Amino acid sequence: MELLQISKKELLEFVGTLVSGPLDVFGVVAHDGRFAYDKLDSAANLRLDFDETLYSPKQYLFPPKDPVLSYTPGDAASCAPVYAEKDQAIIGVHPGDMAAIAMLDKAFTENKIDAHYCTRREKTTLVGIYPTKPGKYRFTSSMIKPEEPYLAADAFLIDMGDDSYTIEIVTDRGKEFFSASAAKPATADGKAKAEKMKTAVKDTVTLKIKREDLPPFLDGKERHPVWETRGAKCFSCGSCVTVCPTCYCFDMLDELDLSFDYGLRFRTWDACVLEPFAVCAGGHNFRTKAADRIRHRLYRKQKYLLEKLGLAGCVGCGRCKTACVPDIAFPPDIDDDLLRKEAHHV
Amino acid sequence: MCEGCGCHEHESIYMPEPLTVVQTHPMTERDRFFEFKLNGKDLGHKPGQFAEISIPGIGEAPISVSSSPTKKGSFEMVIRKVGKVTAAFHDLKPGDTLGVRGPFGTHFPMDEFKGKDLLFFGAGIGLVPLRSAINYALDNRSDYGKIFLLCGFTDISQRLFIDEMESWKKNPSLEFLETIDRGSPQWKGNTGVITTLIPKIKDRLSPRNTKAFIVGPPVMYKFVILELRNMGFRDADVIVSLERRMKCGVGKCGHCQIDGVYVCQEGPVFTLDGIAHLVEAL
Amino acid sequence: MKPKVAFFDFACCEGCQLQVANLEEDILGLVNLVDVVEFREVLTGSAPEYDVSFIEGSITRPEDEARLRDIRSRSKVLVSYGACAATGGVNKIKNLWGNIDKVKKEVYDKDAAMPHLETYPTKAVHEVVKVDYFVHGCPITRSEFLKVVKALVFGTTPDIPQYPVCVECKMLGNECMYDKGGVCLGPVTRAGCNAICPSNNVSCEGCRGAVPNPNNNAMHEVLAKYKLSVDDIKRQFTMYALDPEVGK
Repeated sequence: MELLQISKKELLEFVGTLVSGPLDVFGVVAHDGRFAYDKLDSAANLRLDFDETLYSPKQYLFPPKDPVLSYTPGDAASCAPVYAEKDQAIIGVHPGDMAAIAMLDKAFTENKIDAHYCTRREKTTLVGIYPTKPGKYRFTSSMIKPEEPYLAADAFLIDMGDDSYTIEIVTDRGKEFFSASAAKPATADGKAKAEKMKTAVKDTVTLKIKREDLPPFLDGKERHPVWETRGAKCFSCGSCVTVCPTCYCFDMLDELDLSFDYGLRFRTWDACVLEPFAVCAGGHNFRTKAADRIRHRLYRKQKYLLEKLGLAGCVGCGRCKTACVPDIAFPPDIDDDLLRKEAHHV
Repeated sequence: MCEGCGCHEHESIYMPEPLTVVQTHPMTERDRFFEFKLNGKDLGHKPGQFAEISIPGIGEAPISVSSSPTKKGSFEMVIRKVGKVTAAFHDLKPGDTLGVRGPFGTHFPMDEFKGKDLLFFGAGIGLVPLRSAINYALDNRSDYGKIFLLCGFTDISQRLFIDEMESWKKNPSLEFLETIDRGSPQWKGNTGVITTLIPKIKDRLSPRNTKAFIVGPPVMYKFVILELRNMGFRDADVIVSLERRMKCGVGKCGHCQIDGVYVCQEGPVFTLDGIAHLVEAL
Repeated sequence: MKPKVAFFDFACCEGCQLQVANLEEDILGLVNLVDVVEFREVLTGSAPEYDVSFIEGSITRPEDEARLRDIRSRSKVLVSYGACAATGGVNKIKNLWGNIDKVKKEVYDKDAAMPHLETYPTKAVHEVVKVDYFVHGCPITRSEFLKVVKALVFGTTPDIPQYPVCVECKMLGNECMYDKGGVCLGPVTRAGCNAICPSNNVSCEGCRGAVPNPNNNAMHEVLAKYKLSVDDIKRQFTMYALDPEVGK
């Protein structure tokens, strides 16, 4: 991997030129004392020293309401696919969120290829950043392997603790992206230090079970009392899912323009914890109880997606812990309950 | 991931093809029969598969194909009016167009069952997808041993394919029995749930050489399965088709999952031994 | 032929019909789709029958019931729109007093016995006649109103969200009101408003009524955790008749 170095000032200047160019540039900005991704209108707003953002960057690859077809209402022959058109870059993606994007890539390309996702993805440059501060509830290193973020990233930034970043160039796209910047080849000393700086900030939370042991750990715990206990407090509000960087379940929705001349079919975010999620034609709900729905969510996070895609459905960002008002959604807490109650049973 | 892989050049998996209504007639108050045709080709389905049918501006719904692939030039569906999309289908007239994607999902592996006896349980609207396998077997009659067809409906007003059931009843190459849960003065046939038909054919069944098919409302499966297991059927010889909310049909949207299994990909047709470990299946 | 549409109001502030009258550029699109035959605040005129009637306001007097039944009998489709019509809204606060004479005395004092001030416990529209569709909110959300109109004109049924406000709030990228130290009824309130209040830093007060199966026990627990007194919780849940059990 090619390593470059760039001063913080030079990086900001570079982002400044990007922002004034044709590219849509997204990055992290301060937001009411917290941090959030937003479209950058000035490089000065970009923050790379954030602990954790309110929401993940998945919204730029898998928007909450994304048109997939346009049509004349009632005329099936008029249907035409709608694809993203703008090039974009996302600057400042933590390794966990980057691994989540790698998982989304897999989900939308395995078996049947989703050209809507791929078109937008193809137009996206992803620049990661290793965290400079611990996240309040982060346990990413329990959930992802160090190489997985590199399945998605075009480049990674490493804050060197002085006034510079080291840039790991991962793909040709990443190389091309930074070619217009003032970045220079990294020195041998810089390379050694960068490797150390990548792991300088430790996780706040450690999962007691290894990632590969999670699927067998969860086997047979489908009827464990923890689901009822936590389900009793669940609002079925979908917050744990909306903030999750890997959740990608969706619904389809048709909308007409008031003129009735044209309409769009949208793909909209959905959530398995919402009550109507598993309702079938005829009204039968295959997951009536909140307990069943939160179990399904946790199994998807820690077992099903790992088995299906080989990548974790939870990347340990801790956002669900913050987002869940009754605080029942955090996977490490649920695993602890499962462990504790198990010991108790024996 | 996407550099030069060309994956964005694939056709949209959400893009429907135009479909034309050939004919349609009501079967019950809420079920309507449709014959559809594609522009100059067959749907290319196998028995038990489904397709996503849509009207642009209203929405899309997964519907089972009811005709056997042996029927060429057109295919058939029975659509129950259960929501806004299916209600809109009921307003369609011959010559109207709509959209179709598919066929999707697994099928009844009829070729693998050659030489076997076949035992079909079709309850209510479950008869609709099952009919594709029944007619496939009847169109390839010499490939199979004995055929038993047991149908059940909640009451006389819910009976589907009345003329076809009459022809099955008269057809000497299969044994057909029908029951309704709640009898009425006009009904002279069997009454009771579908499992009450089993004793009437039991002495002629060879559980070790028979493939049993079950399609019906969610509540029915465990009762039929219990009876079959008691008779000595192995789970590998019991085939079920399970209904779930298959919104996208292409294994992405997540609605149809049973545990971690996407029904639109690994189902809707399953062998019982393939789903025994799933807590949400039955 | 364009469907004949009429707007009627009962006990309310008429703020919802104002939302319709204020559709701005969309009003032209709307009148291209439908023929508005009766709308007291906007035009004069009436019609013997309606394809769609929109009913605003609560039913609070015997003569309201008779008028509403008459409208229903002349309407193919009836839509209850706005919180007062759809749930009873703030008008239902008086029902919590138990005794209607006490209410009249409190509000009208010495005039309480005057015949034109006769009133009885508030009813939502669907508690008197069959309602085909609802548009929730105090006031209604214009985009949702248009969605319902478009669906009805196109001959289909509108999708009204069955999930809580949190879904829309999170999709907009808002910071949770609880995170900011506030309280909010978003978790038990039906979405469709595009989370307009929390998006503007105001807590959800439940004006759209409850989701189909609200977890009210958990909501009470959460509010208590955030140091709300029993009376405050009761006030939160009764302002828009969100939980009819609270206050009984």
